[in-house]
Amino acid sequence: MNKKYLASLVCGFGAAVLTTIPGLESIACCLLVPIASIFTIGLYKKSSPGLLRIQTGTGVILGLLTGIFAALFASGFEIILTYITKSNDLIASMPQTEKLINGMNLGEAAKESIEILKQMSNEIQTTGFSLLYSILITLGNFITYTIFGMLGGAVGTAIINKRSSN
Amino acid sequence: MQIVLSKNFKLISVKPDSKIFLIRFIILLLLASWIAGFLLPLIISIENPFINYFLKRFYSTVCHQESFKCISIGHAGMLVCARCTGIYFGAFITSISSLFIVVPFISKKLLMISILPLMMDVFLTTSGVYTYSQFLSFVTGIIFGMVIYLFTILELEKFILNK
Repeated sequence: MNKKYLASLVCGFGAAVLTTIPGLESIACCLLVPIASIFTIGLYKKSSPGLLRIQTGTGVILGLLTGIFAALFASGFEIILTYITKSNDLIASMPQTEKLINGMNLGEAAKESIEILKQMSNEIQTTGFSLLYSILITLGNFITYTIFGMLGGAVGTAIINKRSSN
Repeated sequence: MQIVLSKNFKLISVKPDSKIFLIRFIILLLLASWIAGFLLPLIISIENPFINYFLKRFYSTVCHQESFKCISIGHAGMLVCARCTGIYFGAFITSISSLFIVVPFISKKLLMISILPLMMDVFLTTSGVYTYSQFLSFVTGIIFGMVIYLFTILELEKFILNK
């Protein structure tokens, strides 16, 4: 396998695993995927001994790949966990959401949206899977993780290149 | 021209040319939209539960969103914690100023120094030395946000301009 993909796969998988640990998320916050991207660049540099300097473009692509893999695995983990437990944060937040909505005078659009949420919640509780929910969380993960992955890639390139030049 | 203030802090490229200005302006717009997204519950009241849930879910991938750590005004709270807000605000302030003033070159050492207060705050609050303070998290976040923006922007410009 191409070294770029292998390094990104390993670090993306690692980041996705770490996102499932509840306590760790409160410490690492938004830095988890960028840190994974920095590790990817470090790993890629180590696996290419002849490489003196990493191009910023390569670093950004490595970060992007890390973000894609992290999003893929994180979404996969969440879908599998939801399927096994038939519960997730949507189910947990539904009673509170309904309580909040009952006290509000909502329009037609809001009523329709509550119906969609209820439908998703019912699907998860009965079959453990909701297509709409899975698509939305995967899309959200892809957007955020790729952005943060690329930023981590740019930062990582600068850090690793500066270390090499020292 | 390069003015060296110390080993870790140099001032370079006094005036951004039009291409660099454009890149920085686009980054500023992207940053502004990202910040507007997590400030949305403070700006308007979102009465659509579906949008409300997925907007919160969207930002939950980059922040733990513990309610007591999120800055709130009245009943509405931001969608990210005070520390993350600080990081984004720090980057935003610097991105505005980078359009008009000198962009300093940030060394790796300075980057590490800037993350130190943030890490110390995380460590000391987690270990219970002092109780969590939104203000302290916000300030340490701002410091890191400013430095990380300056550190990243030059690399991104190099990448976009193929230098």
